[in-house]
Amino acid sequence: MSAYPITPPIANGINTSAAYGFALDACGIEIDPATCAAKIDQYITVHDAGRILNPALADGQIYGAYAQAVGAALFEEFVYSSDGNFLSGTFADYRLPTASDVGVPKIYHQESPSPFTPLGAKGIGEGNSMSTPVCIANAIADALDLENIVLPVTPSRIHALLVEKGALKLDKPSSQVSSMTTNTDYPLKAKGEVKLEVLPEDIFAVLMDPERLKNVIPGCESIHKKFIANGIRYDCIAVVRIGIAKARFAAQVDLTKVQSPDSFVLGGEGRGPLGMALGMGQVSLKKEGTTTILIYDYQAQVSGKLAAIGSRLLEGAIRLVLDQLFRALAKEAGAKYEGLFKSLITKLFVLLGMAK
Amino acid sequence: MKSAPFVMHQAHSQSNILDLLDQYGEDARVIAGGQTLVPVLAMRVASPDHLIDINQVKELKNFGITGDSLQVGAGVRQSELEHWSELRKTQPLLSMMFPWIAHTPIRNRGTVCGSIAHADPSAELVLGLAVLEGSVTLASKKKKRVVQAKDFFLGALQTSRQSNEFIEAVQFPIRGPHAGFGFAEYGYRHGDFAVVAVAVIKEDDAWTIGFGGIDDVVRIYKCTAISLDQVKQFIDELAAETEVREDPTATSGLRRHLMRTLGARACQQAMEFKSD
Repeated sequence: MSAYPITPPIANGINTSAAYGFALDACGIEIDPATCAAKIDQYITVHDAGRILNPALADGQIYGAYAQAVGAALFEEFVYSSDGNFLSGTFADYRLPTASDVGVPKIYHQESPSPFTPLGAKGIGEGNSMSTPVCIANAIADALDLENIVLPVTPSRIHALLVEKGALKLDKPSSQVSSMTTNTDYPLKAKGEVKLEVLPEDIFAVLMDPERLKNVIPGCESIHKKFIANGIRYDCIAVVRIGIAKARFAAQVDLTKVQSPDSFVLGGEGRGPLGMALGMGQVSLKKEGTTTILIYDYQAQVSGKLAAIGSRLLEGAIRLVLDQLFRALAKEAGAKYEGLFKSLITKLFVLLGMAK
Repeated sequence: MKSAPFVMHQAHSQSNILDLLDQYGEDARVIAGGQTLVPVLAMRVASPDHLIDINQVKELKNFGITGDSLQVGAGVRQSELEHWSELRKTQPLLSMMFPWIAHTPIRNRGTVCGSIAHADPSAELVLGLAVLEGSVTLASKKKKRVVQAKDFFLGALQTSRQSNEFIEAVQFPIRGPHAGFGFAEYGYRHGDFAVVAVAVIKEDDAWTIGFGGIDDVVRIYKCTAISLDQVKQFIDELAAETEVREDPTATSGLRRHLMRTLGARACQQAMEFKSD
């Protein structure tokens, strides 16, 4: 710098400092082919902060910024579902690096005093939060012989990159994809059929009778029936249990386009302190001798605290609630319960792609 | 956040616990170590009206060999079992797992039965109980029943325990002296939930392989193999064919890859296993 400009020099440009610090980073990264995890073996960071006034504080700035940067490069990520719900809202889902993940960088100082400040000091604050993610990304790009790396470089991302390169096997995609990772308005979809050993009329009888429906809806405390434009609306209060969690939901379930005893459209929404659930689906009943084939095709979405807590476990829990519902419907409609129970679950799970 | 109000009952005997559960059922929760329950109370994800503290009930703090199983009472802390001098001899698989269960302070408070009760499909002890084909003793005021692990774990956080039942103890069957054991796990940080965990038991040519973290329940597979290559081949096909979860924690591709690499590692361990 020949002289320091007092006015902004170029369009939109502002010179924010009289004396800039400089940093140079180098690192050695190891990628474990067994786990696809990147680990920092060695990290060297060199700073020119001019004359260092307090060596302990200068190193403290570096350690702190470095730890934040390792988090940004390898661990921390804000994850949102397609409908805007924040999914990494706990420290189980938003992973901060621990001391053993961060390690200790080697710090070197190159003191070249600034001619513009009285003591020759420049700046050093948080420099590594800018240089370290780049350095780590470059090391990984070099190790994998790739140009573009998206941060944070999680094992899932490295795995995908290795598959793309042909270094690892390409497996069939899972049919058990979480609603959290798909991109549709109603991310949770289920489609299939179950065989119930009762007549369609018996099932309809249950669906039209709030007293009997109360036995079908898991945890139903109260239910009221009313007629709406093209069908029936049930207002109910139900206590939903998912493992250790328990919440009271106020739900509105609409049965519309009812064509007894063949088909109806089932729509609904539930609100509670843990969040909100919306669903919509077509249910058809097909008579086969003395049995009924119940064909369903529905979509749902869950939002709020429920969606943010333990995303790892939510899907399975929803499936279990649905499973309870089908079981109870069959029982209330008078189906032979013994034996059917197990095959019903198995079938439902097959339909949902959970078993074979 | 702070927990919603609840009534705390200090149980003084097992029959007292059963009476309280009989009275309050769904509205009550048993608290032992509280390593899961207390955080979810604080987040108000759970808000039971009654908590039954079982820490003062001395008869629940016993563990030891009963018949051909290691029986662990409801009050036994994970670290008590971890540091038991006979553990490596009687239950080598559990002794391999303990260092992977959360962190030392959590194991100092958390109980073995509490982890089983919570039924997290990524939990090491849940995997251990399932792969060893163990059982859970459930007591209620009226009767006592023993449920096999496969019938106990129904899904993610779901068990066949009824609301008036108390998990009195769990039983981990002891395998013969020629059995080999292996365990491997990957979590993002030390103490994290397992992305994938594998436990292997080898008895001559018969292999039992259990995977945690890949589905809503622990998955157990059995095969006969005379060489490491054969069992690796079995796992390779399993990883390609089985349905595994895909969620924000990990892609199904990564989980399948970990099934193969960690599976091979655990099988090799079981092959080279030498009992104490």
